[in-house]
Amino acid sequence: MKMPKIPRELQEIADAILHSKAGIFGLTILVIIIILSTLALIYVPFNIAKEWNNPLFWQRNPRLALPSWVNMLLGRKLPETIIVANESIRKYSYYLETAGLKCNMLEAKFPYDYQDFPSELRLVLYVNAEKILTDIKWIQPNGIEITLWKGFLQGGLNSIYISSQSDIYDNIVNSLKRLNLTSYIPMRPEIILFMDNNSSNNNPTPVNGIYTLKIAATSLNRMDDVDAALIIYGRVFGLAGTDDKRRDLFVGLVWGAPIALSFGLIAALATSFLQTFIGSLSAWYGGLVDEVIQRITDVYMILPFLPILITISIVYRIDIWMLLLVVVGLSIFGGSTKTARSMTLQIMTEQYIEAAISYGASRKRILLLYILPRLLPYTLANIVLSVPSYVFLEAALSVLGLGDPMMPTWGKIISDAYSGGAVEHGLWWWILLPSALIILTAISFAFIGLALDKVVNPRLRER
Amino acid sequence: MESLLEVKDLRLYYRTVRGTVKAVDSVSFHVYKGETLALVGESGCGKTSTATAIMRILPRNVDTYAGEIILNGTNIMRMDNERFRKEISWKKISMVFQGAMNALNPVIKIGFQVAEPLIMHAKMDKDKALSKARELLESVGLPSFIADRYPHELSGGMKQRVVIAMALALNPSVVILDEPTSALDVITQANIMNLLKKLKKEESLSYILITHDLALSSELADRIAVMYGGKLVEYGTAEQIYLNAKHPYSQKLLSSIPTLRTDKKLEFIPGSPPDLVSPPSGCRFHPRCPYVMPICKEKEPIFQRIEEDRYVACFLYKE
Amino acid sequence: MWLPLTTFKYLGKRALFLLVTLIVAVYLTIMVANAGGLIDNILKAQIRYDIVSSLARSPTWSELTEEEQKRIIDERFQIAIKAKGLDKSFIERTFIYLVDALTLRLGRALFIASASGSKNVGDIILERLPQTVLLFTTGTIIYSIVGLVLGLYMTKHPGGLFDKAFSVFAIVTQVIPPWFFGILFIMVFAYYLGITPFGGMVSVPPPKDPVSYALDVAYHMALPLFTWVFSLFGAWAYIARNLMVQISEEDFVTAARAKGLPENTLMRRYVLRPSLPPVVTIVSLSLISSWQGAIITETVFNWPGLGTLFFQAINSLDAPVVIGLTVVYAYLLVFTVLILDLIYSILDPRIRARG
Repeated sequence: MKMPKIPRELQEIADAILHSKAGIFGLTILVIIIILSTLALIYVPFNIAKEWNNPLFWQRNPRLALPSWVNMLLGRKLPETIIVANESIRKYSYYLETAGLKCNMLEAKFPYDYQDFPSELRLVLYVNAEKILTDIKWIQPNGIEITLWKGFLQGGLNSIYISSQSDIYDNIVNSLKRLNLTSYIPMRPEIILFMDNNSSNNNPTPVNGIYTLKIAATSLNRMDDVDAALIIYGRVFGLAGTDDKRRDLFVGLVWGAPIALSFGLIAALATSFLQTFIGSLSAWYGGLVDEVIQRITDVYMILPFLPILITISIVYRIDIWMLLLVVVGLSIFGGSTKTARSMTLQIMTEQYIEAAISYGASRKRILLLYILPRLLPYTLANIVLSVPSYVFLEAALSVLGLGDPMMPTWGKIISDAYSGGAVEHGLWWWILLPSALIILTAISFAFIGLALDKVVNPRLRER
Repeated sequence: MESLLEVKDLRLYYRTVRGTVKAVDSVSFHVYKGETLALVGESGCGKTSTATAIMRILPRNVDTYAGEIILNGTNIMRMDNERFRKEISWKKISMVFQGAMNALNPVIKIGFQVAEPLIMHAKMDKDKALSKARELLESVGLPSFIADRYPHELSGGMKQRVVIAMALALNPSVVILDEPTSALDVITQANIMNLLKKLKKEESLSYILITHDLALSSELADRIAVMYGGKLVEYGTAEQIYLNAKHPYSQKLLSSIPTLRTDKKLEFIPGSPPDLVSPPSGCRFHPRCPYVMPICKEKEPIFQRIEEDRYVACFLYKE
Repeated sequence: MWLPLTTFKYLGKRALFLLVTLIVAVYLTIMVANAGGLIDNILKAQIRYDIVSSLARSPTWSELTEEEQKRIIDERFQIAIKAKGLDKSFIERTFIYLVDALTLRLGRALFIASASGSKNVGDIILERLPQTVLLFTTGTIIYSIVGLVLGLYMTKHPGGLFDKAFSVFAIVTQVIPPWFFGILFIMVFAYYLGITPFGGMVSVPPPKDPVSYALDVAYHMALPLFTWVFSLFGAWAYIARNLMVQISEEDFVTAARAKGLPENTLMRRYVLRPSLPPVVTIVSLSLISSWQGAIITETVFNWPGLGTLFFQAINSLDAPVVIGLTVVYAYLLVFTVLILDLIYSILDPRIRARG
């Protein structure tokens, strides 16, 4: 059983792509994306990506941070996140026998040399005691001392949100009043704590130098211990910044690629092959089969695809792979069915088909061996051209709120960005980076498809 | 005999990916008033290009368009496009296209298409033009209600008549007929030829009949010009050519015509038409000529006058 | 322009076919939705509501005890169920629902209400329909005209730099859906440049007099309209151009040129005019999918039409509205195809003969 036709068809396609400017351009982009994705996938292993929906995992990232490389463009240095913990904190403790009090003193010193303020401040205290009385002081390099907090803390993990807790804000205000530095009270805590009081309120600049955080913890047991970590959330993070849930967008973008692409490819492959096969079948067997398939196709093409998809998604909670199945199911018949049918009708008139029938080849065999391989270039061009629309379909469903909530696809990131107000607040990296990736992917497929289109539609060739 | 149209040294070359195609390479002939000149030759020899060159329908990739076309004393080659369009196109010279199947606009009614030149050039108002169109249709043997039909509703023969009617709308001096019957069955063919003959007599029209079918041209032709490879190889009256063809190619053409009653040994011409991008050296016919001589491979024969109004381009003949 | 009988025959056949398609689409929706018993619930809720509201109008109703009220309601409920045929089998029920859906008796929404306070799904949808039609029909008409004009221009000057550059533009805008451009444009024009609003149809509070109101709507419609046209005219122009170039190589165009027709007339009557029928066929498919893309585009621009309604219904899990919208969309698509068929039959005399 010889199959000489198939390799020639593929050869034709490869030639078409490689010999046109459009094809090379598209292919180059695609290859670059694939290489970058592979490298990135190695760099960001799956166990990190798995935590996409786990808020705790991303705790130490700043919210809505810009990508780090912005610093290179801006000339200014926006701060990165500084975590002062462990070795950077000097601890000493003592136990007063007579009073029965344990004193733990923590002193965290850190340099701050940025021209911009951090986005947020958080202090985490690991209290290895039943209860402690704490006194937290903040000391600027210029010696200005501000009391942040005084009070009792329970054992366990305590997070003090310096930026958002109102009691802390009140303490800061009081400290400032006592020091007669009331001019910059209306500012946010993370700005006040770093601000140079010589600079104006309109254009505050931070004091550069060594800052100190002093924590005094008093408790009743000798064995009591306290550890701390001060998280000074920066304004920039990583290669792609972060979203409103503090997630490293780079992880999402990198892992969005294979998911988006596989969804698009599988959908495109399945629908293209199905439609072409059925169209060809329709023409080959003719008669009632042809008539029925044509009518069904006509009806299919006018069905409200997206609304029905939405209805299904509402009625049944489905995940992304179930969605894929439904999409394919709703696309079994389509425009390609008709084209494949007319192409088959043309091929049928050729003499070697008649010859094959006359020497006794079965109808099924002729269809599979002689006719379908001829349709291969068309099918492939179709697949390539429809991948982008399926990638965008997934994104569209995410925007509507119907996508798979678990997976970090590009569409999900874009829709999160959109509903997270990225547009209204100019959080460009959150929207533009995934958009750029999706657009690049779509364009690369489109250009490859254009190159193939010239093979499939010779009528469109220009003189 | 009054010379109506003189074509002198007409050249039309156009550029393709493979090189410059010399479709019409220095063609000269006369068309006399009231006479039919048949321009015959194989497919691809340049006859249709000659016709479109006279009508100034040039391809987009035209390279050279030169020569002289003198109509009633005026060299119309010198006219600018706008003047040509307004004064010559369809008014003085009109054309009946090859494959009338496709020469009509499918979405516009017949009547309007026939009336169109009248509205455009003769500045007639629409109603008057339409009624004149109906008259024209009748003059070619079609019922006037055809004017309200669309092209797809007509048969091939009817469409051909429409196209002829259209060509006559402005009473042109010369009508170029490009293979007017090649797509029709023999009976319709005969009908159309009869129509053409009738019109020629009634309106004293001058035709340039372009055809590959020598037998057909014998019905109408007063004079015959034989083209080969973009060049003219022979020119003379119909009798002269049919009874005493000089050029080997013309002779071969004639002997390849089957006759109805007598038994004739049919000959065909071996080889294939020349490549117009890089034609054979010397005489373009030499690879297929049974009388080929050494000089034929080196030098191109001049299209020379051997008698009054009789020209041949062949080294076999000296003036 | 008087159309021959054959045109009506053709249109009649098409209308019949489209009716069948509509029925299939709606039936499919019902099957899918009711596989989870959803439509049963919608209808039962509707019946119960009708019963209660009609009973509450009777003056003696409030005098009854709660138990008695409940008993009467349940009694009437059972009777109504039987009358409606809701105690029958699944398949039979789907046909009952089919008739309801086709006549647009779509039940009551769970959460969403129309601006006038009605919870009738039909009312809610009808309220939003004009806005969608306004935006997208205008947009479609504009981009069709722009695309045709541009396609014609490119046919006259083929192979030029503009031609090549435009084909790149056409490809890029063809793969990227309008709603995507929408997000980007909102960012550029509303956030960075501040020259258009972020979305919506009117400002809050809306202006009182009709002229200001109309201007306000126009101001809000500018960016969505621009996005819609920008995203779709390129591909259309390209298709039109390809078709017209093909047609310009036909014999009848050369013949017309020989007739000495001026170039403009030639282009219009012999290239543009015969291209219109195939352009309409090719575009009818993309028009259908663009109606569906309109759903997301409206959502992105917060335009108060059917699309945003879809979005709201999805978010509040208001299934009756979703189902109702799907039915309405089936109607919309069928109607679009019908109009296109009508246009096509006017444009192409050949189709009338085939009947």
